[in-house]
Amino acid sequence: MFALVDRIGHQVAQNLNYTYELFLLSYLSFRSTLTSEFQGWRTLFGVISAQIYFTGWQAMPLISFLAFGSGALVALQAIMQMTFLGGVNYVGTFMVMVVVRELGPLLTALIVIARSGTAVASELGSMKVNKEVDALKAMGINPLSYIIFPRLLGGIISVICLAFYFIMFATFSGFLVCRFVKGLPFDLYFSSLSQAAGMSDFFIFFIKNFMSGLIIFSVSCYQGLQVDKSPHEIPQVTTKAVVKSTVYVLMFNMLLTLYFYFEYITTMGMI
Amino acid sequence: MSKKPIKRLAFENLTIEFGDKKIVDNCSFEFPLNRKIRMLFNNDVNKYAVLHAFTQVEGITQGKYFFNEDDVTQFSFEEFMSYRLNMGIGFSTRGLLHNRSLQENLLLPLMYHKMMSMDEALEHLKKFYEYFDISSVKDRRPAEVGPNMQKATLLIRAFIHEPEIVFLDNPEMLLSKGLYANLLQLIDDQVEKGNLKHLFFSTEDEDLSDCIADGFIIVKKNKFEFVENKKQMRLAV
Repeated sequence: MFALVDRIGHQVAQNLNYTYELFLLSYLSFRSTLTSEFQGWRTLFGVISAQIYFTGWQAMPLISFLAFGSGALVALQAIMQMTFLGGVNYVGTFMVMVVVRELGPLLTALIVIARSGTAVASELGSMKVNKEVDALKAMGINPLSYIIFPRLLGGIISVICLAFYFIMFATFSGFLVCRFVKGLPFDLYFSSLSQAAGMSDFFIFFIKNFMSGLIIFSVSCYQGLQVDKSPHEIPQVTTKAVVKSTVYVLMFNMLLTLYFYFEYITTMGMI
Repeated sequence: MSKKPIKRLAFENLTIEFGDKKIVDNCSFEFPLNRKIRMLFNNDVNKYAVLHAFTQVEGITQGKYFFNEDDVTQFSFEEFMSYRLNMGIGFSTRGLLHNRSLQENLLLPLMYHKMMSMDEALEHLKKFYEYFDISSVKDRRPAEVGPNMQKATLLIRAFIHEPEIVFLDNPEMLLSKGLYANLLQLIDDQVEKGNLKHLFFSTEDEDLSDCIADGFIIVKKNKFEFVENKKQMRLAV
């Protein structure tokens, strides 16, 4: 019994320490960039835009396909169930609840983890093995501001933009389904959507995607930098980066949704 | 930021750890300056860890490491910069950025620290290309050229910002014998121009050592010893 409690306690302590180190890495990279008098913004801008190109722009075809499919599926399920209950007009509300609040940020994060999180972890791992990180330091270039910061910032911007693109595409494909299956006019669908979406949705959307970007890229950078000497460690840290970012993103999304609904239920006077 | 001249290099009661092992334990030593010194590492010492500690000020867990009168173990990355800009480090093999061409690798420190304009930097590089004849491959990435050219780029990078002090780790490694003379010429030219004042290098090549070294430092776990000539060096080793 106590052994189990000890093990759980050990795991919790380890994860708290890991989270602290992630925040430390992110904080130090932002600090070293903002306080560095050497860092040329032109050099930085090049690295940030490359990161946005690889993470954001190149992921758009896959995101389009996924958004179109999931938007259509959610709308189809919603419209089928709502027909029985006589609430076809509420399909927009359902789309906002499922796609904007949950599915959009989560699926975007999973795609970014699969495409870019792995790429960043393995790239940094191989840079570590090839002594490129040491070489940067030897040249007086702080790896925190030159390697980590552009990936974090580029990653966060990309995730927010991709998630926005996802929900736009998903709601559009949802409309197409409603139009062809139930003949729902655009005005009705749009007003249903706009009535359902409030300021809190924008806030949740922004926080979830900002944090997903930060989590994915800080975990990937951190894991990549854990490589010591041998190339055989690179696939190991890449796998860890995928697992840890997925768990952390899911946990954060769940906690935020729980908090949001708890607030909602409290204001409704249900608790 | 301007480079700070280096008048003294010493350490007191220094302990260097690599992983969880003590590589150097409680050592004190004053580096002889204005010389070209070969460093010989005993088998019980991890050469990479020692050079890494001296050049990057990392892994030092105890003691003081002085540049002039400044104990740099207490310095942040930014505070150490004025000395770092006056140091050149030639890696033994790896260390080139693989997603950049050889020229971009060499331009990076010059442009990053805004040491010169792009035109001036390109002109500056041309002089260095001549030593190892890498003009024809300068736009290729490291993986697209042979180890000989990679090594030449690593060597040039150590001297490109005209530092006072240079550490070279096995400068002969991967370099074809035909280019040894060019390396010696590069070192001599840098000394003649008044840029290079202190050179520390490790090598396995006795011929190269004979051509460059005018002093030897023998590194053991608990002892750093300076000897003037090869005969004393043999006895000490």
